[in-house]
Amino acid sequence: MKQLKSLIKRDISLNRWSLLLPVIVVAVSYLFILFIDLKWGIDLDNIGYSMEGAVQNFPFMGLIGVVIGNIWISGAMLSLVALVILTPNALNDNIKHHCEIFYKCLPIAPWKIVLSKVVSCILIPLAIVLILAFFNTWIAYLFLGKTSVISLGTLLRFVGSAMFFAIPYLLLFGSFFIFLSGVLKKKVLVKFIGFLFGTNILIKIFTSLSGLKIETLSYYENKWLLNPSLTGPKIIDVDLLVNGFMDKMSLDSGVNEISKLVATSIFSWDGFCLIFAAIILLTSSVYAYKVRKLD
Amino acid sequence: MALVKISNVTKKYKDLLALDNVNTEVRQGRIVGLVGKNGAGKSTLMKCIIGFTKFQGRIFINGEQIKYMEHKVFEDTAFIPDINSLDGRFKVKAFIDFFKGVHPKFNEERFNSLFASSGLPLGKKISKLSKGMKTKLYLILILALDVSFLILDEPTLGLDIVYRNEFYNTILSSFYNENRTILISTHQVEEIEHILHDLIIIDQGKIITNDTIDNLLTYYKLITIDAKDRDKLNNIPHKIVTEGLSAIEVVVPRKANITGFKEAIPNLAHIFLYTLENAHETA
Repeated sequence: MKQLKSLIKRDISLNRWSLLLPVIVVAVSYLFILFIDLKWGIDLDNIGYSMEGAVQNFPFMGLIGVVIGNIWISGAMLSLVALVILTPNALNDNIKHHCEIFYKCLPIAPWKIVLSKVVSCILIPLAIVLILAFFNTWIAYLFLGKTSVISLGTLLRFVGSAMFFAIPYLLLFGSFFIFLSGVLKKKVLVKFIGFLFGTNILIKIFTSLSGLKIETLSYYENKWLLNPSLTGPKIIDVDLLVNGFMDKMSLDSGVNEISKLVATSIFSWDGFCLIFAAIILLTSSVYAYKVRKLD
Repeated sequence: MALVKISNVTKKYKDLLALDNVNTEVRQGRIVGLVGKNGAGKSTLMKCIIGFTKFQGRIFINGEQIKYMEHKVFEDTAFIPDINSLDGRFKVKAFIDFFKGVHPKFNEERFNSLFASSGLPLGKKISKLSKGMKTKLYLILILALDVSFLILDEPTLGLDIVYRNEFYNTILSSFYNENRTILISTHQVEEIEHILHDLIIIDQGKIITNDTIDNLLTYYKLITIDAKDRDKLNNIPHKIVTEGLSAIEVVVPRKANITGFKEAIPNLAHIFLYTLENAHETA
């Protein structure tokens, strides 16, 4: 446990700027809004917009927009930090800094190293982004929720469920890049994107020349991600979602229903398959890291 | 008693035979020098001992067979490969804390006493330290471990003579005792001869000598003979170590039937050169 704690602390310390990136983005955004307010003033009550000739309730629609935007931006920031910056360098950053041999000479089990990467490169960014998403929702509610028929609790649940739904996907992609970083010594992301694009182009060329109907790798990948258990229905049943929403008497309970369905959809064969694939990739990462040749 | 037992170890890198059926041992409680020319197989043998490379044959440390890339070997063995392998991204203090946290054999008390006199700046980044300072830091960290086996692979490469000297003196005074074993590889044997108990000489992937220093010094003599008497060496295994206009210094077996006008005990560098030159006779 002491070793694991030290490894996680080390990773946080080395990646602190990457981990702080979402906080910096949010802080800069607030400063920007504050600057606009101080310079020109923002009068929320007098902002209105017309849609199909009817004046809409801006604060409420704005709140919905901000919350949905918040979820998208949180997801984008999480992907950027976890999947673009951290995990593709997780197991090979020591090679880049010419200190791989030092770490290999320590009595640390490889599974602890991989686990520390899962915590520091996936779970901690997730926690940071989740806290920021809740904070942003609360701030948005504070300024735009005056006339809202949806409660703050409902909005927080909505945001939380969207982030919760992302966990198995984040684990899967994160584990995939951790595995690649155990196999490839450098430029993991570039090599992966190059491989994906290259293969897709080759398949396209092949199908156009041969007339055979084969889809690209990205097509199969996307298809699998929507239904990892290959059982038929997609991981989120949209009809169930719409019907569940429509069945409710109020907007608030309708949104709550959506949150419940989204969050619980990962407790399924699809969710299990995503987590199982992540575990296989992480186990393979342990092995790849253990047997990797030293330069 | 053998701490490390090496049996029939062969290592090939494509067409290059780096270790050729090596059979040898490192005795417990000794400071052992592993010397050889560049490319003789020293580093490869060390890598095999700690399981950093695959090989044919078997190696045991303390009775435990070495497996490829097994971290457990480092629970009781410390290895200093190259001073520059320290992680330069850390500040000294953070690095010490990390090391303390991950090594179960870290002896804080010993570390504090070693660190107190080191003059190392806690707040400085490792990458900003001089090579000498990095050496000190690495050494202090390793010496603070309660491990029984220390392996050093050309640890002072690139260091100036002051730090080289300090390095070996610190090891001797702060780490070594009769329960601990040290294996040092170098091609500068003169630098470590004052601390060694045993010497292993390796050449072209073969162990050509593994003996105590005391024994080795009794096997050979360093004689100075007149340059014109050079012919007397014709039928005797020898190695000329200094060649002057009027006299030559030459290492010969002590039992050789030749005398010079001056006779002395050879140093390890002389013995090393002699052994390399006469490998087939002494192997």
